[in-house]
Amino acid sequence: MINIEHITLLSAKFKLTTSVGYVIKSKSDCKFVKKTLWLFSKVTTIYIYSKSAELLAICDKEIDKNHNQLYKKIKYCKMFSIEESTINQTIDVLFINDNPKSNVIDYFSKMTIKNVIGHLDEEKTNYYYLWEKFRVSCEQIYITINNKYNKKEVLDWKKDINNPIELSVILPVYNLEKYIEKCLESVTAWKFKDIEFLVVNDGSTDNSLEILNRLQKSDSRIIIISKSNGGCASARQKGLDVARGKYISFIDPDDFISTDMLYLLHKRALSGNHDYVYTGYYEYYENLDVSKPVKNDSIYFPYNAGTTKEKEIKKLISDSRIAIWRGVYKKDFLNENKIKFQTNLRRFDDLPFKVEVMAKAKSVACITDFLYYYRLERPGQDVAVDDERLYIHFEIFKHLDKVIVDTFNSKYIADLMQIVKIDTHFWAMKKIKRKHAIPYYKKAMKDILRNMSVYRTFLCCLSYRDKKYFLKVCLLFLNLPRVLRKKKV
Amino acid sequence: MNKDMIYITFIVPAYNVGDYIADTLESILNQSYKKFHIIIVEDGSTDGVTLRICQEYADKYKNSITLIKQRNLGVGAARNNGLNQVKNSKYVCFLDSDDFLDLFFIENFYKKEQQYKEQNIDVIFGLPNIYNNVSKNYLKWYDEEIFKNIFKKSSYVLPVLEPRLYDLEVNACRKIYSLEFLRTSGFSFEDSVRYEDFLPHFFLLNNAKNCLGFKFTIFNYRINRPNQLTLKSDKSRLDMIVAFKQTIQYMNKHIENKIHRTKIINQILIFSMWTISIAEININKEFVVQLKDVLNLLKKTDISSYKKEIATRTQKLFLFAIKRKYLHKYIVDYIYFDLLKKKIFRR
Repeated sequence: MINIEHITLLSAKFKLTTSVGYVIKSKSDCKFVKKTLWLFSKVTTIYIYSKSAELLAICDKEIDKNHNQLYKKIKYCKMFSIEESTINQTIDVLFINDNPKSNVIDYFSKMTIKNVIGHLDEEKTNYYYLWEKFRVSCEQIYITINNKYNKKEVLDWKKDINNPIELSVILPVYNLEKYIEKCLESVTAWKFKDIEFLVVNDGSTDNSLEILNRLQKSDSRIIIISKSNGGCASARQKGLDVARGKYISFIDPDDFISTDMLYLLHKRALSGNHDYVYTGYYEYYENLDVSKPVKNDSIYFPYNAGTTKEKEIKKLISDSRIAIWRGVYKKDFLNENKIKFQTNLRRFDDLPFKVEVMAKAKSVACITDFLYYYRLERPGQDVAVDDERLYIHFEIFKHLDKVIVDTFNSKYIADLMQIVKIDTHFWAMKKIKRKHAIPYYKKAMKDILRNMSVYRTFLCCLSYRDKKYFLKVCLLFLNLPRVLRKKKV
Repeated sequence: MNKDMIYITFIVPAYNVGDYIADTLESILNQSYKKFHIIIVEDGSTDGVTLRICQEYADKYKNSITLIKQRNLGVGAARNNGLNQVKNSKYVCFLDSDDFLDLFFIENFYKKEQQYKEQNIDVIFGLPNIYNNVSKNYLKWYDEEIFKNIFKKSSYVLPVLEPRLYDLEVNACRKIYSLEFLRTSGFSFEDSVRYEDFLPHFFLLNNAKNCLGFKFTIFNYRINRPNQLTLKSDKSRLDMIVAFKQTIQYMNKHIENKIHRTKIINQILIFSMWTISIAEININKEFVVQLKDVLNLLKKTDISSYKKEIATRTQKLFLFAIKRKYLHKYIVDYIYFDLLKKKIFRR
């Protein structure tokens, strides 16, 4: 049964219950019944279910007969014995035994049950199946889960009667007629009912809209929102404003996903109520039709087991890739922290979004599989830029310094941001055309040293990265463009 | 114990905790053993909800809840105020309004306490659980190892003979006090200090003649909720200096045992190094300067015996650098990174 400490917070509700059910499988479950029975002083019936009649007899012996009034209300029911009366039962609180088999879940999902409380091991029972079965009639499902990595998580799901949508997928579309069909095909492959696909048409000038309209006819979960052109950030923000789901996902329509990505992400997010859940991704080279998994992305321990440690989560600011489209975000978390897209930025709006999420998230988990295909070598793509447009980085960091570093006032985040800065400028300087390199370098140095001394920057590099990285930064400080130019020749 | 005497009284100061106060009160009201009383001290909340919820509960459970209102004076003052209102009760327990009791706490406690009825226990130490408000998990308390070591042989311990008690986390809510002891020793919290638990911990250990260790969970300490004081890294951190100062002054006057004094210095250093690791840079500079002045109040013999017996390398270095002003700038950074590597963060 569920560990007794979890009952403390739930027990406030028990006073109002009229009927309670226990599903027992072992002798220790009987003890649990005995220990918690007094909480239901006002119920009219107490059902105790088991497959074996012997266990019910043992339970009968175990229960303290001194609780005279409660004792009279107990009804023992043998499971799977077909009685018409049991089907129409209403149970306010049901304690389900450890690792219930699927036939047990089916048996109870026919009744009307308002609260389910229990414990299971992820490897023995599929909690998503349990959740799907019970969520029809339940108001609250509270299951403690021992996950694959032997870490305890809590699935605490509450029904929202006005809004059944669980997941909103936001797809900003701008002139992507070539790719959109493949993307939507992979995204809508999961036939989950309570999901919405918000396609934000950002004033496309090609045939994208016609294709979308055609696709919408075959799948009513697709919702098309049209707006005048305003950039990717504004399209994503528009989607975010109208999204109803408890979780939000952003997928770029020029990419495509593995068909079970959304299912796996939602499943992972449910257990543990994580603020942010992500997967690994492939880089997909269109011209060669080859996909390559992206390494150095911290999708392994401790993130795969789910973490709530502040330091570990914030470390993601510098350690994970800027790939906001391979995850799901809790809507409440984004709202509470007022995390928004910077609609005034035309490009690279995902960097500030990512940093804000990582700095504020309280619990994060990831899936160690690679499930998202990120298309490269598409003409007109942002990452392919190699001229003055890269100067946008300075604008972004100016903004980030204001939003992140100042509001958090934490040294740890300031240090990590310094690393992000150095990384980004490195990346840009490798990419930028030669004639822009020197002005960019001068600006970058100014940017890096704006609010941190050289001494602290060195300390940062040494403690968050290795010696090699430290040497690289030393070179950067000693006029890197010359070094780079030599490399290129 | 006569019949109308209340067994245990909970003093709950409430300030802007509209989301959590109901959980706290329910957890007390739902206890399996019912001989308790609750005193809520409403500390002039500004969120508009807290007072209303407190009032609702006070009206509903007239026999077991007393509600006191005061203008905003801080947790210490609220606790004192509540303590003054306690009339007849064997034990007193302070509970923060975002934490909640374990469901079986009073029952377990009663059973255990009955075994030591004859001894007239002054203070009972317990183990809280940490409740993560986001992941809804329950975690172990920070000093569980030390606690279990102290009370390994017997749960009945004399503070005079057990200096390790000084190493325990200073939290005031983890202790249950005998009312008689609080009254005779003149115990009170400092009114205006924000880290109000620091001095009382040592005051208690110095005055209590005996104590019990109680291995069941007392309450669940909620972490990861927004606006928690312990997580703030702004100017309020500097209040810690005041708490240190009072502690050192008290120590120089009243505590004679040499080992106890070194243990207190150890706590002060651990606490301040932890502060340096999480506070802002500007605050840190001021903190270090002020800490230097406070540490000057310590007697030289105490410091040298501390260096000899307990101090780690980092702590020695810290003491060395804090005396030299030109090193302050570097030491703030150095200790921060050193701490980070060793991962000895307390919270």
